[in-house]
Amino acid sequence: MGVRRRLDAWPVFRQLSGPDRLGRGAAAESRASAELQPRVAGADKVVKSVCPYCGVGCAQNVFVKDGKVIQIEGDPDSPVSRGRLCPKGSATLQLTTGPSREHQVLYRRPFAKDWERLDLETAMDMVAERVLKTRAETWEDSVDGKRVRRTMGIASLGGATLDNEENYLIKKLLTSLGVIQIENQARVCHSSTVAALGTSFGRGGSTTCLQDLQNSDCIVIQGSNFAEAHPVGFQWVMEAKKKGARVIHVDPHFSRTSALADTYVPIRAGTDIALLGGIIHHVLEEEKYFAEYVLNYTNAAAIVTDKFHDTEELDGVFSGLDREQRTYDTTTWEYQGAEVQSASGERDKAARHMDTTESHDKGHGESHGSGGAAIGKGQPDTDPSLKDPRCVFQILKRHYARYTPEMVEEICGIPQSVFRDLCQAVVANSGRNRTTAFAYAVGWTQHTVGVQYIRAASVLQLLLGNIGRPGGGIMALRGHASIQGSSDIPTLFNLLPGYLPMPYAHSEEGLDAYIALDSTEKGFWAEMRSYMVSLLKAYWGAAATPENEFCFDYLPRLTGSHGTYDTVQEQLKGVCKGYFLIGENPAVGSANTRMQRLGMANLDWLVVRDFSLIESATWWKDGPEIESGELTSEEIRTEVFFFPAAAHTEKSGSFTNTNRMLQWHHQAVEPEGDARSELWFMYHLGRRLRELLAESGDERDRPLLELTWDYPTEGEQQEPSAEAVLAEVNGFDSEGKPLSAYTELKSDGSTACGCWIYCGVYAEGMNHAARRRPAQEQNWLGPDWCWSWPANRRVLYNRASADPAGAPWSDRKSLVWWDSEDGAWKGHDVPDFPPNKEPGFVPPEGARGAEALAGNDPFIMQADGKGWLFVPTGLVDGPMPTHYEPEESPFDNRLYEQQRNPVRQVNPSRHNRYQPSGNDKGAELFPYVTTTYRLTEHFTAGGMSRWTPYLNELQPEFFCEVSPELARERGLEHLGWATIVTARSAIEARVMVTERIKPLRVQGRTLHQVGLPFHWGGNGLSRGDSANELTSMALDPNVHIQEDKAFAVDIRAGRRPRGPALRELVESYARRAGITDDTGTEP
Amino acid sequence: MSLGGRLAELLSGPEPMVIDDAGHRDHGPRMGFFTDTSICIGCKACEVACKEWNGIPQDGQLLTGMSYDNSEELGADTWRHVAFIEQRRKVGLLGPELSVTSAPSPYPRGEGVQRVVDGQGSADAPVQAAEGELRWLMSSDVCKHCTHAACLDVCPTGALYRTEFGTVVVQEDVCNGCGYCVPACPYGVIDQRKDDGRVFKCTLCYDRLGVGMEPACAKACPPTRSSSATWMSCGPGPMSGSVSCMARV
Repeated sequence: MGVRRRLDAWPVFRQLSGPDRLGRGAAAESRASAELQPRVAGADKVVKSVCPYCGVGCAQNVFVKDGKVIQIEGDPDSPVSRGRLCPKGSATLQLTTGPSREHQVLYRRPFAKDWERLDLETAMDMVAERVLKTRAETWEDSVDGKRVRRTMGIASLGGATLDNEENYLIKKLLTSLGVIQIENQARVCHSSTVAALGTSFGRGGSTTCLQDLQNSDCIVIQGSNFAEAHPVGFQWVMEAKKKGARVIHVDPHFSRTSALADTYVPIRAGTDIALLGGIIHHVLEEEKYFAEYVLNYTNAAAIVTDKFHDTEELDGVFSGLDREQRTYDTTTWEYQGAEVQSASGERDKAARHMDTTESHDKGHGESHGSGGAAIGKGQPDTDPSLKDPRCVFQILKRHYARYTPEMVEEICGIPQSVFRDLCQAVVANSGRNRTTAFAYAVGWTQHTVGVQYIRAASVLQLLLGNIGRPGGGIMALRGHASIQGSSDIPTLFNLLPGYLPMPYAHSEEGLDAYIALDSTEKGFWAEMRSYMVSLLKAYWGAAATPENEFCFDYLPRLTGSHGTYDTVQEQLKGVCKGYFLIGENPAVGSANTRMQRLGMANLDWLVVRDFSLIESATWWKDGPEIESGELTSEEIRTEVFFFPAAAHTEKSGSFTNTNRMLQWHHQAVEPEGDARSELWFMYHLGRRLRELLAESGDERDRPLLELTWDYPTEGEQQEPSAEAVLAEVNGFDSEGKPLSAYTELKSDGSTACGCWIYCGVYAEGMNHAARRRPAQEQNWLGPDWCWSWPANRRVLYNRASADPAGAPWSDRKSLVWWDSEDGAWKGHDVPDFPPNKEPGFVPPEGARGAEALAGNDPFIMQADGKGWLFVPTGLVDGPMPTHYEPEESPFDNRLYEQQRNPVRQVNPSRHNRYQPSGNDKGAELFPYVTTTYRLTEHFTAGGMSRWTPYLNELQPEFFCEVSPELARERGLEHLGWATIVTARSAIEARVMVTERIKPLRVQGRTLHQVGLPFHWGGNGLSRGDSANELTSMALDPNVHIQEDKAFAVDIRAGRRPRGPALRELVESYARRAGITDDTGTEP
Repeated sequence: MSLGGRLAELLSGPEPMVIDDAGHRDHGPRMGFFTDTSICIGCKACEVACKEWNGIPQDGQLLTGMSYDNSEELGADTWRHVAFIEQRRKVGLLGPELSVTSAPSPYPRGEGVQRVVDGQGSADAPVQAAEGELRWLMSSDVCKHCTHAACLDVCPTGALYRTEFGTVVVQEDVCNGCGYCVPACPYGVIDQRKDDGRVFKCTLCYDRLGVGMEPACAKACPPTRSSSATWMSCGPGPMSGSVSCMARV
């Protein structure tokens, strides 16, 4: 035998004796080849996980061997991703196990030039001390005589990359400390979405889910680079296309999305409302709307008070404008018959006129994330004939009358033939038998009229009858793994979990007044008190009693806008002294990054938690201001702590994806070194703070000391149990039994629930977010795969998929329907309607809450049960979308005398100067329009991609995209350098000359646009200037989101100056253009 | 078939029994890649998934200026390569040369675009007619695992061999780095790794195929339908995947 084996090991013998006579196959096989095994074959376990990058939420299988992650692949069972991963998702092994991650706590002393090491426990103790010290120094019991019990001295930023459970603890702990400046990426990415969709439909999340796009007959992608930013979600667009759907991409730059679309429509950045308004005009004029849907399911018939005057009458502004205060008196927009007239209404009015910043927030549009705006007592007067000149339908017709094809061409640069084709496409693919979907992302949200962009799509989709139906809807594409979650369980200043508003400081400040101010009379938002009391019980447990209004008084109070851009100004003023950055990189990703760094340079202390040394952690030693000589390390007193963060594979928790779906990822391995989860950091920080204050008798410490903070910990690292946090988020009754649905919540304190819209995710004590029933075994919506809020519904408002009588509008588009035999709503999805309410139900007089919903009220969170074509209350800048030019534009507004959104939020400062627009002197120096965007190969501000070798070789450098015509005009050479200048700064980029960027004809002249991917910064494996050095803090007044998707620049050949010459260049532009701190700030 | 005919098949032309002729018995279907360029979104997931699975080193960061293609070409450290072509062609039903159906573009383009002076655009830019539509083509390229593989034919050591899946694989424990295969490949697929000396190329994830797993690139490819269905099927259906792996017939 031995001889034979030795002979067989000899290839020549095998060649001569076996069938492989040419010796090119079996005979040549080596022993290594014969024994080859894939490395996953020896894995000890496969752990179910979720990709940590964008909001698609691709399911992952994590292979673990000997306590190490050895491979990460897509999980084919997911109904959303079907096993696919994009390049970033495919690189998660390198992201989580590669050498670029830090595993050591680092510490920078004040005025030091470099890091030093610190052990984790000491660092935690030091941070706890700093928090208490700063809190003590900056505590405010009251402001202007009103109780606030808070600190403006501490702020926190980050959360969209974190688990829901982590966001829950961040908000809970910091709120109990009196910290109100709690923010995350949702502010700068999708806050507009919440306000727009919330006021239109009653909930602020995407109305549909990715996999339902396959049922669309037409998909309009606008304001989104879908294929590049959400590649795996894009498979459903491709499925629809394969079934014959028409795919249209409207965008200033031709991207990979455009390449796959049937039609690409270039548009001038910042003019989408003019285009959508043009389509609305077409639909109304040509009577192409879905009449039965519009009449029954929208507020088209509602009569608006005679105090209302439209932009048509007032040359571009609505009634109620106070130019001095930059606010609208929104009472002039209200319904007739449901005016605000109750006691709470008086309070509301009083609140509205309190001060400028506060009234900016009085719409607090984001609090309509799961509950529409209150309309006062009673229901509006209606005219079902739609003929009354003051009914919404007629007002809408007049409002959009001037949005003609000619006007669209003039403003957007879209030729009339192309525009008409677009109109025909959406009209032909809407109605009983067909549906059109709109998909958008931050190309719509990030404007001074961001909310109104999305509102325009909402109006159009309601007119066409496309909401709540298969293949219809508005797909809000979220760009972080849990940015939907960090809105739902908000690390946002103005929200509490479940879109309950944070209370403002009022002279009359009890729980009753708070509830009266926001809850509706009708629908499920009428039960707001139950949701709020249950949250307070979750926060303060036994300490929350009916006698003390369930500790409502423990919540710190707002006095205006405290968004992340306000925080930067507080830092510069020296008010905010301590800052937590938790998985966010504002030195690259936020608008006006220079101002972000100057703010941080004025802090006492900064805590950065991330994987690698991002720009926001190292600006004090190598930031652009160090290079330019504006700052020197020795003069910066900010103390900096860097804590390495745990990756998604190293902790358990849930992400909420862009479908509103909570997906649990299980811990595969423990984090190495000092790396820890945010759950660990917040829990143990809170534990320390409570120990330090244990003996305190100070009233201000009671919210912290009485906080429920006893989560079980696991393992050597004492990681808190994420599942225990999820159980609290889900809620439990007085006996500790998990609740099954938010309808079980009570206002008497007998239930506790950390986030009412997530109630049910832990029903029967089972983690429904961890459910993994394979897609192949269920319908396309995948109801048994994880869990979606609300109540596991996948397509929202699906009552509208049936006609008023309860039958599907057509067989082809059936989703849910009324089964009269069983007396119940049935269908493919969980009905988004009271399950046994018959279609013809007419509520009795005096009914309230869910009882008051009629059988044809599909928008069950709305105060009147209808989709809102016209928003009578809830937004601060207009009841209907109106085209205004961006803060900075080379063009005058062709539609009205009013150039910009009159109530947009500007922050005049020498660090945040705006440029002149249109025909104003100096505007000619900034003749080009710029937009920023993502590339597939990178992720947002780069923290999770610029340290990953496999991704950096694919896109190794910052570049700008320009047309050949612009290149000729400005002498730009392909692959050469260009310097791009605004009033804030100048950056350099490699030049990519491409025909994909098209010059447009706008107002009779040629407009060139410049495209800027925004991922780069000074650190990491690939480096470059940040596009956000150029952007300004000009904000949407509803939600304080910045306008960085449309602004004006100059571009010139060559590299930017170094050292002090950089600021000199920017100053020289300012001088020549006559720019002052006040330029562009007029209402 | 005559002996001469069989011999000829071994060396050129159709070769229906490529796995049997390589001496493998009791084998499954032949495996190969099917790449549908019409639905490729150019995301490069295939490139990254390949590198992650096979542990291929990063091979430099160069902005090439060739559209979004910074991988340039296949090589020892690039086993999957997505090419990007920006193309303006007159496309129409009659084919590219006979562009009578191509409508004039309503967008301004070309020479004659004038400067914006003092914020006032000049009356400018005559609209050019019949310019054709811009196309951005993306195509993921990879080793073809040729039926008559020149790399394999010239390999003097038996490092390159044909597997029981009909694929062509370099055996790294045999390769001595002679490099004969490099100029032999007509597609520029195989190359030497500089600091190593040996040659490397796509293995069609030989290790994964062995346990019934699909290749890493095909597994990741976002625009595909569930590839478990198409992978073992005998022919590519339309739109069945941008990058999928399937049995060849």
